[in-house]
Amino acid sequence: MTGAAIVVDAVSKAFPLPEARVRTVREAVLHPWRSPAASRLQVLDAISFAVGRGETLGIMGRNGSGKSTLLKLLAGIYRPDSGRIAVAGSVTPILELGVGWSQDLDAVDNVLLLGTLMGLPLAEARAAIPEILAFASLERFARVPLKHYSSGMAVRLAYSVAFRAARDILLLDEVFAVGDVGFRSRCEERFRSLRRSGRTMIVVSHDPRTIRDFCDRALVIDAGRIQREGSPAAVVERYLELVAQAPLAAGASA
Amino acid sequence: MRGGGGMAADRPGEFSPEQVAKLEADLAYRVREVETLNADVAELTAALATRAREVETLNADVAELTAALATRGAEVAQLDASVAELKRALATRSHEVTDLARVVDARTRQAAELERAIFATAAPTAPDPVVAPAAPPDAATAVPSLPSARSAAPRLDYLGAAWTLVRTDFRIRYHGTLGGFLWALAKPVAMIGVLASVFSWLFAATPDYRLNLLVGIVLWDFFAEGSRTGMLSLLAKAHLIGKTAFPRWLLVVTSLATPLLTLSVFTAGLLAVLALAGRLPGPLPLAAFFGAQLAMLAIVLGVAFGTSVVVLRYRDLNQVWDVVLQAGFFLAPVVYPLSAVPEPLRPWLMLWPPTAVLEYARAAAVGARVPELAAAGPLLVMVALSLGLGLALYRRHAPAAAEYL
Repeated sequence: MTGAAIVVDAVSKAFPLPEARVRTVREAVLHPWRSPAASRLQVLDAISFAVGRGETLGIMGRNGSGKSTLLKLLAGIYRPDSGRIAVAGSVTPILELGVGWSQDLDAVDNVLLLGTLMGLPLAEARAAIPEILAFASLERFARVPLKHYSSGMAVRLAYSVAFRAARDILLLDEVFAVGDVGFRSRCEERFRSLRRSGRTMIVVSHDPRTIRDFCDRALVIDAGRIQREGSPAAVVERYLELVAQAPLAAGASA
Repeated sequence: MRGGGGMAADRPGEFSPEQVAKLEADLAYRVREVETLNADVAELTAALATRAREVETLNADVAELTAALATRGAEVAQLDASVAELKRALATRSHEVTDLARVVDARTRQAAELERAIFATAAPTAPDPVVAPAAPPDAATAVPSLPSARSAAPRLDYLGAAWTLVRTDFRIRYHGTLGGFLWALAKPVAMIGVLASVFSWLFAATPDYRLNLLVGIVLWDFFAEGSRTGMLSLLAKAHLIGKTAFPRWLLVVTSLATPLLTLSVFTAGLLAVLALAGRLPGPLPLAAFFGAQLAMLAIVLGVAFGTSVVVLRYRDLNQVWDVVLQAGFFLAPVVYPLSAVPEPLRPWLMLWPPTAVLEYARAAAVGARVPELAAAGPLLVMVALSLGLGLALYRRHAPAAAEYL
């Protein structure tokens, strides 16, 4: 384990609340001096941590604690408001279960689209289609538009593509929560082989078993800050404490 | 009596001294005997009492033991009952165990089958597909010192990704069929037909009115379609933007592919019409005509880049833009020649970007001459303005695009 694959240094991120985010030209013309409401939600507050090369880091946290925002920052989908993120290598994110599909396209076209945007060369993506469909057990539905897929099928396809496109660093959001037993065990197997091959991984999960079984180290986020970082067992314990505590809204002021 | 008779022999009614001594000794002996017997009796009585006490003690013991025996009997009965119960429970459990063993067997078989299936499907395509795109050696040397979220993006096969975007766009818009595409061409064709028949009567005096109209509509249609789809390029692909990091400009640029395809088809048609009329311009004017098309492409690109990020914040911008296009169609000299507008108004019309392009393209394609340098001026200004403004807006707002979706 030489050096760090990811360094997150005092990263903060806040979002304008939904009502302040999108305006209309009509409003802007009618009320030109009314600035969009300043209410912002501090999602991450000066978070710092590092992930070693080849390490698997687990991230836990209650709903709305900032886990997904953190993953999107690491993936380069969002920009931090302050602080810096350094990443050695290219990141393959598996985010937001089931979305990301063009509903009118069939599985093959969708796989090519997402696969090439995730960094697979087109030729390689083409060649990998049978393998990707087989992994998701969707060979029979290769030419069915995604709008006719069940949510479970769509999610399986997403993981299948991302696992195939995986580069140096893999970000997984609730990966083992999807699919039936067979698919889950295939995912776990693929995950293990990626881990063995020295990939750096970040796994976000609510499931203590996933964190304990698959992670070298873990941290738990709450109210935008790291509440505990260390062994998976210790982090799971802290997470369960947090879950047992008052609802998030009360903790947010802390 | 016998002794009395003897005494009677010696001295009647009197015992002799020997007789008396003998009797006394006899008596003493008897007394001793009696004493001994009395002692024995006393001794025996004492022993009897002792025994009686012992018997009493023993009797008490017996009573106690009998009671204990009864208690133990009850306990034994109770134990017997629980043993019977446990035996019944054991029987039930062993049934359950057999059932579970059967289930475990079945599950194990299923797992084995799945494993076989997985290996069967995964093995032939790639021996270890996972390791194939390995980390580049230079990336392994150091922690990057730059604060670059951008470096998180995978290195792209840009051409492959662009081609896939274009192909899927085409597929979605025209259901992947040539027929669908031809239908899309029908709208401008119908417009040309209607406008040509109506306005050529109005502008009967204008030379080459129909050819000019054709050039105008072909370019205007590209401007309108290109700016519309370009503006919505990011919004329409929101699902991809939130999913993975890739250069967003790919979406903006590739969204112009289908309008460009339409432009190419119409340009080919236009050239065919010119050729049929025997008015195909020479190579230089033709090059100037394509130059005008390029300028239009640059203007549309600028509009697309700029508006694609602004529409994320102001969602009704596309409705506003539709109104602008509606007015712009008549603001640009599409259906009328610029010469029909009073001289002092013409410079104002040139502020609307398509105007300069239309005039330049018409001079080249229909006038079959390379327009003078002065005519290229407004064109280049419009290109610079549109691209400059559009790209500046895009560079400023594109990094936050995902947050506004």
